[in-house]
Amino acid sequence: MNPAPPPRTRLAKFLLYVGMGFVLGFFFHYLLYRIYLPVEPFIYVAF
Amino acid sequence: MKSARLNAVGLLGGILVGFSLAVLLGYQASTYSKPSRFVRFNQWINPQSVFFPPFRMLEHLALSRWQPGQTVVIIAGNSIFNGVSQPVSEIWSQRLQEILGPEKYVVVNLSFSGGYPTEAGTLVAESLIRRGIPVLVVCNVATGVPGRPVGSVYGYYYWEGRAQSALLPYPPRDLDTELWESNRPEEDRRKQAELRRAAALNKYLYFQELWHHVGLNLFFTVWNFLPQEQFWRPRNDWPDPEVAPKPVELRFRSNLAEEMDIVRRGSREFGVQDEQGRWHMSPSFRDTFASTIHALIPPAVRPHLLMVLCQNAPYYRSRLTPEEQDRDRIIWEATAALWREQGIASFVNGADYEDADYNDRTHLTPSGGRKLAIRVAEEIRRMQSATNPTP
Amino acid sequence: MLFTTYWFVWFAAIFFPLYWTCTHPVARQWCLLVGCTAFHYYFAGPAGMLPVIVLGAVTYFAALSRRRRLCHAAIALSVLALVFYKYTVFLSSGLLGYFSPELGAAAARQAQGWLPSAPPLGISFFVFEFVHYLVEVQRGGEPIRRPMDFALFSIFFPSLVAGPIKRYSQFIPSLHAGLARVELADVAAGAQRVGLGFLKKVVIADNLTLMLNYQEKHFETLNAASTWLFLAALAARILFDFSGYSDIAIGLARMMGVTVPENFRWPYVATSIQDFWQRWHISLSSWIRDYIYIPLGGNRHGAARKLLNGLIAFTLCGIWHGPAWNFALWGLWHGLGLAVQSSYQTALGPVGRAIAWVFDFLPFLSWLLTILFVSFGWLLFFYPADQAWVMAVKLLSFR
Repeated sequence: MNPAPPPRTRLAKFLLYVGMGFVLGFFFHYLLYRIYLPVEPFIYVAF
Repeated sequence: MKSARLNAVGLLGGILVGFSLAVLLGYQASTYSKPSRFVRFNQWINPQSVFFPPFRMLEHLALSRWQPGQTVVIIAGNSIFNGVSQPVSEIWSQRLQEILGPEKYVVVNLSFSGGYPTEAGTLVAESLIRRGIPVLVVCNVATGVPGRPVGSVYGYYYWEGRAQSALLPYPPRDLDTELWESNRPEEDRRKQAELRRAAALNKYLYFQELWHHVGLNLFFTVWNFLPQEQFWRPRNDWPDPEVAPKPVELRFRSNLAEEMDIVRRGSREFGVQDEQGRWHMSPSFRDTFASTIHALIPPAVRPHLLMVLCQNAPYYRSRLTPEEQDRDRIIWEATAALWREQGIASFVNGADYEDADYNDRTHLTPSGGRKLAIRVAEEIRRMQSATNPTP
Repeated sequence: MLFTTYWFVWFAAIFFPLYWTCTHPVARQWCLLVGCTAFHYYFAGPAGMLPVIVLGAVTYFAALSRRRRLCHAAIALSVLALVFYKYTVFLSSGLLGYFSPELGAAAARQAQGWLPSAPPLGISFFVFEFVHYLVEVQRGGEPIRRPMDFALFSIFFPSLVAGPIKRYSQFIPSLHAGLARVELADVAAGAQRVGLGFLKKVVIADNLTLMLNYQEKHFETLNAASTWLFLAALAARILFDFSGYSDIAIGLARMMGVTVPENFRWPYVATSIQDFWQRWHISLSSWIRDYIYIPLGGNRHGAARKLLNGLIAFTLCGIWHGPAWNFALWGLWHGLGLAVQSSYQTALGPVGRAIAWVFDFLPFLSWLLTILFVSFGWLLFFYPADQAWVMAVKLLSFR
């Protein structure tokens, strides 16, 4: 059985997730702008 | 709390905070973001290079230099008024500002290549009228009816302006837009619906403002054939690329037949001859014109509008037959009269210009621009005293 | 792409909170069904929904009956529908037109009159899922009894448009688990995956597409380095585009607590063509293996038959991507590559074994050959054969 990670590692991991979420939040906001642009995307869809 | 759940809470909380902060920054950007050293919407800051300046940015451009007691003079319309063929140092709208002086007027050029007089700049003027700010709008047009505020590449201004409640309420325009949409193919209807949804979201989320601000100042994120491998460079880095016109002897060379056809159509489609052989505006076109203006331009905006009918270069008009020249002159003047009948100031410009004033069939050289600025300034002073007696 | 629309943004903003707050499984499944129907209805229209409803109903009842003939008939109907909607014009102008151009053109015109402007939404995917389901039921699998489960299997919106192609025996238990309980960790992991997918699709692939569309027009004027960069960008574009789309689909499903199959596993690190196909569009390649290659006999009837089966399976795999010759040629290219790879050691004797030893000893060489083979294949995938040939010649001339 693996020993439980030390509290500092758990905190660091938690903060890493918060940071990732923060970046994702910004990215989702950026997507709202990006999907507006008529850039003729290649569509790989075999309907 | 288990570690996985805690991390999930962290991630989802982070998303919420990141997104909210982006909205907040977008809101901030909407209050100050504009292209640096702005003179006009050149190719680096217009849709040609996938840059779609948002409605709030245009509003801010119109208001950033405005002081109480001044009148904002918005230049709207297409590439002619955008100053294509005029280097930025010799652009006509700057000449107009110089002639009008800095005390009473602030001139801002919000015209776009291919723009209609019912789009961008004119819609921003509506927003200013709503706020009680003195404003005049100068647009260029040709003969015929003006295009709708929706349907073109700049159609998003209408949806953004409407979503932000910046436009004057005007049911005939809403009805006209609905009718137009209902007669379009399914694909177009979907596109318009998407623009409406985008505008509704952007009203609260400010994504256009934040990411256009980033594109102007930090980095651009969409590849485009104009900058190619330097597509990431912030758009503020690029200078206005307009160069001086070519020597007059090299102008007007290409596509003479096609250009002549456009010149002829400018009057042929709207004129009818009476029994004596004199040309008049066709009565059916008069009706169409009146109903179009009624549908597209709110009455409250009309006293603030100046429609300049920009004639074709004399090189082409001189190649018309005498009868065609007669028709051309009558129809252009009659169109200006039609605008005036609708309560909108209008005059024909360029009828007495020389070849040296044109770089091609329609675009004015710096010398043509200077003449235009003088004429428009006269008209603006006249309108000013009529609409806003104490600027 | 349907996920990059403001309609979908609004849809997701309404649907997901509703799904998460409906904690009762029955309420949640109705919420999901309404969501899937709204999604399908908006993007396909009423006429576009008809095929999935009709074929779905036929498949559901045929499987429920467990009668062999009925299942065969249902498979035939699904395949015929796919051929009708997707390949009629190609068969008329491309195949019939090869023998008689006038007749081919007339037939194509006629077909265009009957057919909708685009095939029904997701038909290539749901037909493959129906065929899989019917075959598995015939092989002794338990049919889906609840119509609601089958409806959700048929029009599950994350995977509707571009897969992954689901397997019902994995999907249904996973769906029930998601309807019963959604863990916060699933929502977070799903959101991460959706973000990754959009990053690949919108930021990387769409930008590469803009660049490639422009450079393709000037391909003749590009120098050697630029042509090779073009090829690399072409290979990167399809990977990021398609795997990005799959990530979004997998992520959206995960946000509902539902697991759908993985579709990509670092395909460009493959060191052989066989390895590539175990990493690329996994849900399709495994479908082709299970429902075309193995039923044709697989590798059970000698070397020649194995090669032929492989060629047939890959040509059909190519054609599945679109009704055009270049897709068929792309499939054939991979079929031939796989045939060479699986037979050269035997065919060339000691020389073949020596080559195999070199490849084992130098995995970098195997990787390089594989990536080059796959990348040149993308020329066939994206461009008509004659244009692809010209491009390949220019690339190999290093000028």
